[in-house]
Amino acid sequence: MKFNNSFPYPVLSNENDNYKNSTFETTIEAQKSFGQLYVNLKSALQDSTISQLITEGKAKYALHIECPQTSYRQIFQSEDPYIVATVPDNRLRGKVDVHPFILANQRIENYDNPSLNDFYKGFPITFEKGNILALGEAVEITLFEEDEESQNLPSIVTIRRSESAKDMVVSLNSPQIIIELPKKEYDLYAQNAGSRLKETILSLVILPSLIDVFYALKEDSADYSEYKWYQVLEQIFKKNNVPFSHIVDGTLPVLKAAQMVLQNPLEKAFNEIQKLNEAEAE
Amino acid sequence: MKIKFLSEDTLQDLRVNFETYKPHYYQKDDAWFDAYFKEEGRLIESKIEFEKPELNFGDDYLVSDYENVKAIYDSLKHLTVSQATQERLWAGLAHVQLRDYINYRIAKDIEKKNDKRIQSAVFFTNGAKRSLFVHILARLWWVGYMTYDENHRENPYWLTEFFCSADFSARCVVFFSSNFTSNTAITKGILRALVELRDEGVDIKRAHFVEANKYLNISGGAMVLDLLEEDEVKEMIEKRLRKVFGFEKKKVLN
Repeated sequence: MKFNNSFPYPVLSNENDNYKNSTFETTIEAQKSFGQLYVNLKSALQDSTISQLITEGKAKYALHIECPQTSYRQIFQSEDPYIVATVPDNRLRGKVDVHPFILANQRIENYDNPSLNDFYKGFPITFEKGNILALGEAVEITLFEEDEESQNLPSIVTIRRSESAKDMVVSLNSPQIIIELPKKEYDLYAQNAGSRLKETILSLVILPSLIDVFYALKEDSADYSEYKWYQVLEQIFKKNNVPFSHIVDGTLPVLKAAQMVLQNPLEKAFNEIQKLNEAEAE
Repeated sequence: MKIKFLSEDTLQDLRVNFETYKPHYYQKDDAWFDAYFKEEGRLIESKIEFEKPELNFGDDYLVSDYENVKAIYDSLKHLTVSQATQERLWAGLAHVQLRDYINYRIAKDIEKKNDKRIQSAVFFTNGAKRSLFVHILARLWWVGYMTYDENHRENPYWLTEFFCSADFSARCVVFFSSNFTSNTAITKGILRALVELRDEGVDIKRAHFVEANKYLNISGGAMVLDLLEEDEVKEMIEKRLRKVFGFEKKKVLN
């Protein structure tokens, strides 16, 4: 929703003249990366009275994020003029409204400010918790739909049953990444892959394989660039605003890269284990 | 099993040619629907696992709506909200895997050939957000999602139960078309205030819901309500309703 611009009390904003000589400037940048939307707020406040209220903890910088379609509505607050709000992108769809503020964090009585427009002089002003002291520039972010099926890792990884292998083997010399499992393990994998522990199984099988893949790339990435799996991985990183070259040059540790691609695999796996254990305890 | 989405083509075909296809809806013509969806490219099997819920087909919607909110939300709790806003998913479930529920829940509208309701029950015809609370299946999930109280361990559906106890269809739209109810602290705060009044013997009506939303709209013009805790919202709404409705003394308003 849009917050309106007329308030029953003075608000510091570029849109009105409630204050003289004071300013509140904001810039907002948003970036999608590996399943998260990061919204960065930078604000610059030029007003000593309001700054003092923030120092005293009576007011705070705030970033309000709302996605009408998915009923997402959250406020992020800080005494710091820089706020990074992280929202899982599956909580959002389409249009997202972002509003920066400075908000009263508690009741503020007898508010006075030498910068106030003369119009307000002599009136006692009280702010309630949640009232707006300063209003920055609102931003609308539009998230584009991604084809969930094609961005998924499964399109480039195949798990096969091996008659001869004694351990898990990853082979890279084909359009897909082939993970070979010993036959007994494969059969168990096939039986359980769709079960309540499917994320846990992904962590067991895919996570170490991806680590292996990224180490291979570090050694010689040119060798693989023709393969589809290489191109898809490169795309995945590009879409998430992380240069793929960072893996090769070591800026991005391979362990981290693998976890990024799987989007918090440990958390997902432990959540499953926790749920299963809870269910058993009941 | 996996949830089956309608392909974009199929969704558009069903929507655009509703006039042609509507006799099959009136006649609950399973044979026709089954043949139609067997055609290649009609359905897309998603990766979303799903155990078909045991839905309640009882005579009294006041009972079955609540039971079905729980059944649908329990079986599809793992949907992400962005999946749960997809028309292709809900239209798919309504036409294929849960068609029997549609025939049950809008039986009267089907009998009366109420085309508008048939369409809004199986497609999204009311805008991206409102449709979620009008579509006959999507609204079950969304009411579950919005009212589920995980802090209430014995019965996380206690607010759901209250919400479904009267006037379900109208409450869905009135209550959740407000932007403020997107914030769960606000939603739960309002519902807790209403439950408290109900427990004191007040017969909670549509007017009470409307007043709560109206008051938030007015207050929300001057403050950022999202800063409030659930308890603060509850207190604020309770105070307002007691004032406006004179509490028990004048509780019959409409």
